[in-house]
Amino acid sequence: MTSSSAKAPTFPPRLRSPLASIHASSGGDVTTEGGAEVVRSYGDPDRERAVVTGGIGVADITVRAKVDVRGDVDRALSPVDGDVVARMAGDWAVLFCPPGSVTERVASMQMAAGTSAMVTDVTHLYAGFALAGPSLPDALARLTAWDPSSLDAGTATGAPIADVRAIVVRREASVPLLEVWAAMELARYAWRSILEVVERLGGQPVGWDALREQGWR
Amino acid sequence: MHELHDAAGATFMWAGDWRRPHHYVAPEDEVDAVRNRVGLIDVSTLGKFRVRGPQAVDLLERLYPNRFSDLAVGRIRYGVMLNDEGVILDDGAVCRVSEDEFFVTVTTGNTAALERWITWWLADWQLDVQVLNVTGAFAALNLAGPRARTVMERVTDADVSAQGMPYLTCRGFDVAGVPALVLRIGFVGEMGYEIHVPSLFGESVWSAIMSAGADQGIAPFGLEAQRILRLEKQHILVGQDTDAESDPYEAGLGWMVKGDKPDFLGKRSLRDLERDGPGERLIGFTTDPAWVPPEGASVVHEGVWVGRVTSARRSAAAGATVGLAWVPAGWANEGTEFEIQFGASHTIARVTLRPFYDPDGERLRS
Repeated sequence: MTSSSAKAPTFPPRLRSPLASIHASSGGDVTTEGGAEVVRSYGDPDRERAVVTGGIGVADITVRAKVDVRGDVDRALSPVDGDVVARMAGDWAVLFCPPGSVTERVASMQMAAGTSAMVTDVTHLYAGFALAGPSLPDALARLTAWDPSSLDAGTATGAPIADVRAIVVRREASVPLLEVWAAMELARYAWRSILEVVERLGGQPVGWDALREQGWR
Repeated sequence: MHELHDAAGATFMWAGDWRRPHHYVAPEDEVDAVRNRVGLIDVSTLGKFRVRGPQAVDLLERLYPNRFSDLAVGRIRYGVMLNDEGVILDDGAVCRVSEDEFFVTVTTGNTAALERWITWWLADWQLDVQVLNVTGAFAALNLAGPRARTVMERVTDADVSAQGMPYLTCRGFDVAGVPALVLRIGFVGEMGYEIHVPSLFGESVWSAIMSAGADQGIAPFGLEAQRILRLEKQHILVGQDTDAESDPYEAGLGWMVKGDKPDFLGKRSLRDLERDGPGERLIGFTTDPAWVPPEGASVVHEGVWVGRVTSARRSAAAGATVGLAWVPAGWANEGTEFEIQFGASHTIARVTLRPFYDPDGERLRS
């Protein structure tokens, strides 16, 4: 602790996953995208590529931006390239976007919706993990009683994963890929639970580069 | 922020589903820091709801016995939620962020239950309003103490003076470079700010405030110190000082019941309760500092159980053991003496109806 009477910085700090220290101790190669810290890899891209194409890997994607829309969803939503819309119910959708501030987008969506919907920046509400690889069904069989076969690419639903209530999104990619979004305060528990299953199947944590090579963005 | 508290030497305890710092150093020293300098506590576990829509006021008017239609934008009102029988369910702050939007806080352990409760009633009432549980989205820090304003002025360019941001107001502005919703409230009874920031920035803001307050003697404080501080103000903890039968009249919160409002949860039951008058009352008491009665200790009259202690702590400010207890309603008069017993131990306590510390709330409002 240092003594200081100077003003604190007036610029926002970098967005950092609550798992940042775990990634650092695992050798995570961190870069900054849209003001957020992203793990590109854990030091062995070839190994991560092999895991994702031949087994199962898990990546921390918590810092992606998210927008919750309640009410007249269609009036409020205005997805752009790179967005993923998870329609959870007729009057509820969650928009997942690349890392970066969505303050202005939230404001414009709220303006478009007027009083017919509530648009909220929920970037900090959910921690997210991407499970990728052909062993995804085996991993899910160990993590949930929910049947993922009914979830088509590009769609989303609510399901319990590792006993945590989560939003799950099936992404379109060249390998089976599922995003799991759980309450931020359960991030560590969810990560450890998922990673334990992944490692039991011979998998490991992977960085965003390994996912992007499979068409994820 | 768990790692940060861990590194600061916190001893943790369970609070509902959360692990929270019980203390960092001796709780008495943490109390001293808040009363005489400035302290910082992590209150992120508070339940938080965003309530927005053309009928947001109508929803709150039905959920609470309080009145919210006259709450000005930028103002805060303490509210208590009741069930249909008029029993206290929860309490917290209701902040009017804009004409049709409120930020509502509830107690840590009740958040999930209240989310279901509100959603269930909203489905029944079919009001044009949206409610979102944003508990995990915001870290919350309570900066409190006579030097809190000095520290706050160092982490924001906003006017946080007594005139610019009086007691029971809320404002949105940057704190340590992070967009924040700041509430001028004080559960611990000192001038303070409850600072809500996006949760992933919590550590950064905590560290910035601790650094800014270093030369002011800032200290982190935990739940035990908070419990002593709130008890000195006779601020109740729902679920600890109340139970499944406690109504606002018995708990000394009858002032917030607006019986002339249109229907609200518990209204009909409260009408009967008000007519019959309370059978028992929650009162403050002081007793010899040599003994702190355990929570649940009996209040006895001629050897017969007539009530119970719900909270008790040794208070340096009061120079006594202070506490809250349920006693027969007729005893709720200043200075009435009664006996507390637990096993072979017993003491004579004295009813104190006003807060033990800063009874007029001058420090809180300063």
